[in-house]
Order: sequence, then C-alpha cells, then structure tokens
Amino acid sequence: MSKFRQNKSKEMPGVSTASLPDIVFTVLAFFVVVSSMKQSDLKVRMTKPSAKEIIQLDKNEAIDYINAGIPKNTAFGNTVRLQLDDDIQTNYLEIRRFIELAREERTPTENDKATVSIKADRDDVDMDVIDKIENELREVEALRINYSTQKESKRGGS
Amino acid sequence: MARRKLQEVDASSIADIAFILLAFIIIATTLEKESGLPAVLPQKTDKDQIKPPEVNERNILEILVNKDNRLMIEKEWDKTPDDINEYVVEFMTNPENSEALPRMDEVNEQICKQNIAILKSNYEAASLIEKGNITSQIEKWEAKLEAVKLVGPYRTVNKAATIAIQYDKSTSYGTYLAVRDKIMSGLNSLRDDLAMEKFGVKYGDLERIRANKKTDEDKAMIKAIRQVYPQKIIKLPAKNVQ
Repeated sequence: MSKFRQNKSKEMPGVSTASLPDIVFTVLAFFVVVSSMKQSDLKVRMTKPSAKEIIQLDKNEAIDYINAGIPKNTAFGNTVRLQLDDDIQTNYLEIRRFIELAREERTPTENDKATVSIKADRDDVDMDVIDKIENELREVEALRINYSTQKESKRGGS
Repeated sequence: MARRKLQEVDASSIADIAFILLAFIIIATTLEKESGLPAVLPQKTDKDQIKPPEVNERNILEILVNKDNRLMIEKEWDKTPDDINEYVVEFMTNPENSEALPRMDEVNEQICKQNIAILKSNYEAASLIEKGNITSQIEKWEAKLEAVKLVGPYRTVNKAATIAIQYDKSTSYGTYLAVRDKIMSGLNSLRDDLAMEKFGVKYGDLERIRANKKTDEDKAMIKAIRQVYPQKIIKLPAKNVQ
C-alpha cells in the first residue's frame, strides 16, 4: 500500500568509492601548494633563538642558508663550525664561494631579491662568529640578511 | 546480434596511487616556513676611508652587551631586555623636546616642497658629482612628501639619530638577537599606533601580507610609516667590554 515501499532488492547498496581518488587528489594538491621541500639535514647542534617581532620570508624568493653551531659529529671537533649545504666548513672564505655558486644558478632579478638566512645556535655561537660571517657577506655584496628564529609565544595582549 | 557491453576500467586502485603520492609529499616536504628578524648589512667600506663622522651624544641610543651578557643602556648597568622598549620609544619620539634626546624634525608639505624647489634650482649649476648627490636628496624629500600626503604633517627624529648596539666578541648570539628583537618591538609598537590612528590597521598586519598579495596602497602605507619611524640600528664593531 505504502508509496515508499521499496520494491527492488532489500540488500544494502555498497558505499561508492568512486569519489575517493578525487578527495585524495584534493588533499594532495593542498599539501603540494602549502609545503616546501625540506632543507638539507642539519649537521650542527641548533637551538634557534626565539624572537617576537619576526617576519616570514616569502618562499618564492631565493633564500641561501648559512648554519653555524657545534657539529653533532664530534669528528669535526667541538668548536663552532659552519655548515653550507651539506658540508661542514671551518674556513669563512668558503662563504663567498657558496654565495657565488648559488647566484650562478639564478637570474639577476632573482639575485636582487635573494636573502641570506643566518641560522645559528643561540648559546654556542658568539658574536665573533656572526661578525665574521657578515663581513664575508659584505665582501660579496649579499646585504639582505635574516636572523633565523623560532617564534616566541606572545605574552599577554598585543 | 548481442552487443558486448563496454567494459569499464577499474578505478579503485587510483585511490591507492594517490595515497602513496600523498604520503611521499608529506614526508619529503615541510610545513615550517622560514622566519626571522630581517636586517640589511651596511655597504662594504674601504679600510682607509675611516673616520666616522663625529656624532652628537644625544643622537645615539647606546645599548651595550658585555661578555657575560649583562646589559647597559645609556651608561646604566644591569638593565633587562624588557627596559629597551621604553628607551626606544622615548628616543624615537622625544616627547618633551629634551636636550638629551635627538632633535626632532617637523615635516610638512610646505617644507618638503620648499626643499625640493631649492634642490632643483641648484641642480643646473652643480658639478657632475654633486648632481648625483642632489638627485638622491630630491628623492628623499619626495618620499617624505608622499608620506605627508598619507599621514599628514609629522615629527620624526633627525637623520643622524641611531640606535647602536655595542657588544663583546664573546657575547652570545642569543642575547644579541634578544636585544635586537626588543628594539624592533619598541619601534613596531610606535608604528602600530600610528598606522592604527591613520589607517585603522596595525602596521604588523600590513607587513604580514604576503609580498605578492600587497597592493600598491599597502606598500605606500608601509613606506609612509617607515618614514615617520625609520629603522636605524647599527652594530658597532666588537670591542672588549667588561
């Protein structure tokens, strides 16, 4: 009698998985857009200093990384060393070569906007090291720098 | 004649493929963005070009960190980084026109136009070297004029005023950055207030707009605010400080 009586089979239809690939691809696309490739692994001990007034670098602009800290592998000694790309360096002159190599891979317009990010351990590294790094950077005219930090949780209001 | 039914491709494995791709991307990339305190290094100078220009004591806010990371501000020892904020605000605004703090310059439309006119009239008679100098000065005044158009007449520290950080070679990097951070926080609080008053938006929020999303209007506002409260921090060469 009832209008709504099902007159077909009484079996439950299975949930269609046809849209599952679409969903997964959407998630995939999201990750591709918001994430960036991992930098080379850190070979020096690093606790980044924390700061409040930080600015996020635009990942579309070129960034070169200079790491400074005490090597994790004690074979490299236990004083502050530089890590450029994957190599541990003792000689500060290597910075010039590192920057120039990086520049060769980019166009001049990209180079104008390039930033050098200095990542250094907050306790192990002293200002002497920072001065030496900055002097080398001035030699090769890489003047836009960034002191890499981690975000400090904001206290109180603004 | 019985037509054969077109066979559909089995699509159920596409989900698996997509999941594997997803897993790869998640592992190979990082969500963490690079952030930090930006700075611009001074141009390289020739060693024999020495002799820094003589500076008036009142134009310098001296912040000193010694090798034990103790802090001295304007000759007073044992300050904490939190004190810096207050000093910076006082230094940048000099509310009572005190003799001990930098002289303030009044900037308004009339002054800007006057200066530009004077510079332009001097331009013709100037020698080639001076011409470059004059052009850059005209550009500076034009930037100020732009700022006046946006924020109205303003008071700013004279151009010799500088915040100087003096440190020892063995001062730790963390302390130095903490000091720099506090200076910026003092400066940004002033900038925030001004932007809030004139544009109804915080300076920090303007700056946080991603570079490619900033409109020309945003950029002009940022420039104007920076004219009023410029970031002038220098690192003095390290020396031994007790």
